[in-house]
Order: sequence, then C-alpha cells, then structure tokens
Amino acid sequence: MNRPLADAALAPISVQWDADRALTAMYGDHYQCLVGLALLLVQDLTTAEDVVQDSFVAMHTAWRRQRDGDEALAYLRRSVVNRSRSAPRHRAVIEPNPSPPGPAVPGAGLGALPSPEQATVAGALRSLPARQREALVLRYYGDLPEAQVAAAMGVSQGAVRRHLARATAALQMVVEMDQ
Amino acid sequence: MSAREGRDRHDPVRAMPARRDLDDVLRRALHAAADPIEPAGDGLTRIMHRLSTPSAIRQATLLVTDCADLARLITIWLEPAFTGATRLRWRHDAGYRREFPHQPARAPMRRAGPWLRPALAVVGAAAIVVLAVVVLGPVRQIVTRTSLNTGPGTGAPAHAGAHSTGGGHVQSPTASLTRTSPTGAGTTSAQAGRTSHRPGTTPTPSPAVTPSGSPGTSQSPGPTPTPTPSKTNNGHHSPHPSKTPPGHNG
Repeated sequence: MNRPLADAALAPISVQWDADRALTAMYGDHYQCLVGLALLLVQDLTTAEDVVQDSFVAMHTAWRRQRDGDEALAYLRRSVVNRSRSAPRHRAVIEPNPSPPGPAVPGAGLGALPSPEQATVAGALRSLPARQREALVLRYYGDLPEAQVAAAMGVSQGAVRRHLARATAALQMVVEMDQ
Repeated sequence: MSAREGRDRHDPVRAMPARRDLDDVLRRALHAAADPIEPAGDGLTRIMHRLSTPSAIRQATLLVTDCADLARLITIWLEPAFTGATRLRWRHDAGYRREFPHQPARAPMRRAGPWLRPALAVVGAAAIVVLAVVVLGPVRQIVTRTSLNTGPGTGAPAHAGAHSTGGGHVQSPTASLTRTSPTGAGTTSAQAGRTSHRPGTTPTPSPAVTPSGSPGTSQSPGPTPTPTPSKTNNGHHSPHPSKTPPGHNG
C-alpha cells in the first residue's frame, strides 16, 4: 500500500531501526508515489525509477543522520527533486540524440490523459520552467504544504509562492486560450 | 479557524476562487498521469544491489590511494640511488674545486645541461607513461571485473544488458542513469530491466554477459563461492558479501 508523499506518520519508523529495515518500510510505503513524482518531473519512467532508487540508496547511506520517518521522507523528496533536475542534464550528455521520452506503461504519463482539459493542462505543464513545474507537482500531486514544498525544492516559501503564482497564471492563460 | 483555512488565506493560489477549478483540473491531471504507473517489481532488489556495489567515488579513491602508495614505495626503493648520486656529485664538485680553485664550481654540470635536462625530461615522461600503463591497466581490469561480478548474476537481472558491455568500460554503480552500451545508443539498464515487465517484449541477453575471468557471475551452485579479491591489500575494499536481503528484516 502506497501512501501519499506528505504522510509518513501512519506507521512510525523508529530511528532505532537499522537502515535496511527502514529502507524496506519506506520502500513499501512510498516507492510508487515517489516514482510518480519523479515521472512527472523527468517525463520518463525509466529515468524516474533510477532517480528514486538512487534516492533510496542515498537515504540508506544517510540513515544515521535521520531522526524519524518524517525526516527520512523529506530527505527522499528532496533527493528525488534534486536528482530529477540533474538526470536530464546527465542524459543529454550521454545521449546527444535521445529518443523522445514517453511513458512505458500504457495509460500513464502526462501524454495519456483522458480529458482534453487535463491534456491541455498537462501540455502546458510540460512547457513550464523546471522550478515552476516542480512547485506545481509537489503542491498538487504530493499535496504538500508550502513549507514542505520549499524544503523539497531547497528554496524559501516566498520563492515557492512566486513559482506557484506564475505557474498557475501561465496555466490559466493556456486553459482560457484553449477554451 | 483551521490550519488549512489559515494556509489558504496566505496562499495566493488557493485564495482566488476563480482558480479553484484550475487547481482541481491540475490535481486530477497530475494524479491521472502518475497514478496508473506500475514500477518494476524488482525495485527493492535493485536498490539493495546498488548498496552492495562499491561506488565509483570509492573505487576512484582506492585507485588514487594505491597510486600514492606505489609512488611512495618507488621513492623508498630509489632513495639509495638518489643518495648515491648526490654524494657522487658532491665529491665530483669538491674535487673539481680542489683541482681548479679559480673556476666556477658548477662548470662541468653546465656543460652537460643543454642536452641532459631535456633528455631526462623525456625519459621521465616515458617512464611515467609506461608506469601508468603497467599499473593502471590491471587495476582497471580488476575494477571492471568487480563491477561485473556484482552485476548481473547477483539477483539483479535487469542490469544484464548494461554489464554486457565489457571491453574495459568501468561501469559506475552509482551512475545508473548513465549506463549505456559502448556505442552510446544502447538501452539503459533500467530499460533492459523493464522489458521483462512489458507485455509482448522479449529481452535479448547479450552473449558477452559472462566474462571469463569473473567467478562471481557463475550461476552454478558450487559449494565454495569464490569472492573476487579485487582489492585486499589494505582492507579498504569489501564487496559486502554478507549483505542480507531486506526481506529478512520483516
């Protein structure tokens, strides 16, 4: 059962656990949601899975510095966001002429949405700057408050508000033009 | 006033009723895009595999440490020669001064300088190159063999395509996003791994996936598994053979 990205306290993970046990618990609870988050950021399921797996490896390594499950989940979110930023750059270096990314699972990804309105929003979302897209995805897919969005992005809450305001204004414009 | 209402009051996005529809559409679109995904089932296995593989930084650190140790050893070996050469030159200079007290002391060396110093530089550069080829070649092979041993045969079949590259390519275990074939046009490891989860696709394992010098990739149930002693000189490198799968933890 995968829980939302903002919820880590249903089954408290003790700091007394060893790293393997904590990783297994966090994996069972949040892996799929984190892959979804990374998929929305990098637009490629393969890269998204790699990003999330690398983040879990980093969390395992840094487990001694975590105080509880909430902090570990925040660490995972931030790691996924950071690695999702660097993954496309890395991919551009190793694949100068990459094939167009697409969802590997039928019916998943921003390109496979049932509603035309949702498809319009998704297309506009892809055209947003990376920081604005991150803020939107963390806020509306992860259902995170601004403080946690800011922590995951490594920026201030004011910056998150600005990103969200600009992104929603751009999306609003696109939706109105489409209608 | 609840916390959510307070948050909404300070949130310029939620405070605008005209944008609530957009919020809903955006939320539904994001969930509709990301919720149907089915990640590969071997994610935990691949994470554990990455944890058990030494990282590229660690390998590079070991390489630098070994090279520094080698340089220190060579310096110690050659110290008598350096000392003897210095003493010989000092005696030569002292005798020259006694024989020709009015001549400058460094005159003989100055005569040899114009051709000796470039020659020494060339010889030194050639020695460094030869040393690098001789030393770094086997070390690189060992590193490659280590990454191959911990690769496809240890419970992570998804990486078989990437590790079949061989040919002296050092596979960085942490840079999993960069795993490609040597030509740069092949599939990544995770792509190869996910082919088993796609209906209608048949993964084609590379025939070069089993290197001859890596016992760790053997699937035969031999009674005595032979770990690859790639770096055992100073105990820095242990491939974590006792890593237990996470399922044992409950």
